[in-house]
Amino acid sequence: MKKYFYTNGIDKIGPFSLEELKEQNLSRDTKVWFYGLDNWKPLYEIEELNSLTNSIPPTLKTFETKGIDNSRKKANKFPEKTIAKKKTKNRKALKVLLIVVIVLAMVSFIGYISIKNQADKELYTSIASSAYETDVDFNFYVEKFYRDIENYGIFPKKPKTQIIKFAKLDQLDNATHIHGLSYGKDNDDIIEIYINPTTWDKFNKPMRYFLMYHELSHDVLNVDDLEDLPSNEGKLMYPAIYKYVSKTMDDFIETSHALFEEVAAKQNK
Amino acid sequence: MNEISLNNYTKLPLKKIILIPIFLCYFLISFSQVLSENDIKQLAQKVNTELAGMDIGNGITVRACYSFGRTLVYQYDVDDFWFPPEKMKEDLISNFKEAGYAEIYFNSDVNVDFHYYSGNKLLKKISIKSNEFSNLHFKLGDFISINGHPKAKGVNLQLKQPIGWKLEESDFPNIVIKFCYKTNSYIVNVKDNVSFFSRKEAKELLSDSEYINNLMFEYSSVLKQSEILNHKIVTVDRYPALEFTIRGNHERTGIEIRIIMKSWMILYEDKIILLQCGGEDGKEFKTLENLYNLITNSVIFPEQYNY
Repeated sequence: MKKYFYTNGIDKIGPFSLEELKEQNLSRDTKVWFYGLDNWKPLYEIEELNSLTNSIPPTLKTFETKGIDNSRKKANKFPEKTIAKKKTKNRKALKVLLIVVIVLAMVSFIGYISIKNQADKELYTSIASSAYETDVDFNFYVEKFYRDIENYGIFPKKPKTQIIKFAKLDQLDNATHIHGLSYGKDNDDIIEIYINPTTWDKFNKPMRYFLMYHELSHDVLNVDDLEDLPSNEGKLMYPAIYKYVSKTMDDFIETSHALFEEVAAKQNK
Repeated sequence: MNEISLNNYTKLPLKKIILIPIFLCYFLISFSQVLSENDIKQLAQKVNTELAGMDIGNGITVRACYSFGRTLVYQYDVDDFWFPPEKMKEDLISNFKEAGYAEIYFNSDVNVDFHYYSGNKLLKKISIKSNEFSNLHFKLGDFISINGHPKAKGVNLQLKQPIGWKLEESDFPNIVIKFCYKTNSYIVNVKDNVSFFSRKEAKELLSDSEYINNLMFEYSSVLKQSEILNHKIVTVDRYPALEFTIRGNHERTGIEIRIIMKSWMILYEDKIILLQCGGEDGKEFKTLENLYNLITNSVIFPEQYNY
């Protein structure tokens, strides 16, 4: 009696008699093999199985996968030892591989974070060590900033520790075009801002206000930079303030008021 | 040679011509400071009675004196050889000032006309308005900058100082500079505001009638029996400003003076700039008001042109 095998694309399933084969949920494209055939052939190409082929309605493309899945499920019902063993082995291998990938990803992430932290620490050390006192009265801007936000009903803690200094931000190896940096964000006990002296010299009056209020908004209001998009140009938290050469005091006043209004609205939600 | 003789000829009667209005000053002084048109009419009649027909030399005779509203008209008869000297009006005013009587005509708000007749022919008519007798004609001089002044609080402002006015410092903490002439002054006052205001925001605020009413009340409360004469929104070098005039009594060491103040309040960034001018309520203020307007009009905020 002729024995038939079919495959779901992964496993070889069989042997089946013709009658048994008819009970399988085959499609016309299911590849079948029996002794005497050189290679696996789709069911519809095997003449002697035409009766079986004709009894199967042509499958829609969307259902092909489902058909295969069903055939797999069906096939799983048959406790063929070799196939089952192979499947278990494959699954185990997959699991191991997955765990390895996850572990590797975590290790790389932790590595990245620690390297980044290390780099940030080194940057901070470099900035803090290059910082120096100046004749510029930065407190002038701090006082005005607190006065203005209070007008909007924002009353953040005014920390006793206030470090606002010039720092040689131009000389940093891994940083270019930094005009100011705030390190007091999310820390209400300190205001820590470093200003690039070269920038300060080049900036006009409105740009200096833009810079100081930008950094103080990071530091005191814990507001993030906006994305460097054209739609954000002109706003206080736009990251490229060096482009604000033609901005006026009116521009600065109106955009800072808009930000304070936004922060106050969020606070009152 | 001819010119010299002509000048000699004309200068003498000119001095004499003013004798009559100066004679009038005696009466003016005896009257109250505020003369009614009827008072002026009575004065004219008195002068006419006492001086008509008087020969004041060089063939010039007083014909008559009468009044027309607030104007005193002096008529003279001159001989056929008389002709008006150059700049006769300027010389007349100058002579009044030299004699020290110009101020009386100015303060009494009396205009003077001089008519010179040869027979029935009017040879010359000169009209001098009371304001022209005043010494309060000033021109603006050079720009003064308050940039860097310790009381300027960072405000960079320039304005022209009137020539002949003293530039003074003030003991008051917010008064940066002060231009003074007698009892009149023009003050630049800089105060901190509660917040920044852009020009757009300032304009919106100054359009708020409730805010303006409160502000006017505050300002006028510094004077007793005060009244707000006018207020409007204007622009001072591209910055919106509130212009207002207040009159009231100011008491100091028991002496009460009626004063009038014109002010321009400018909301400049986070500062309030108050340009205040005035003095005793009277004719001087009216005469100087145009000068005050010119000083304010000369104000420049140069920083806005830097960017």
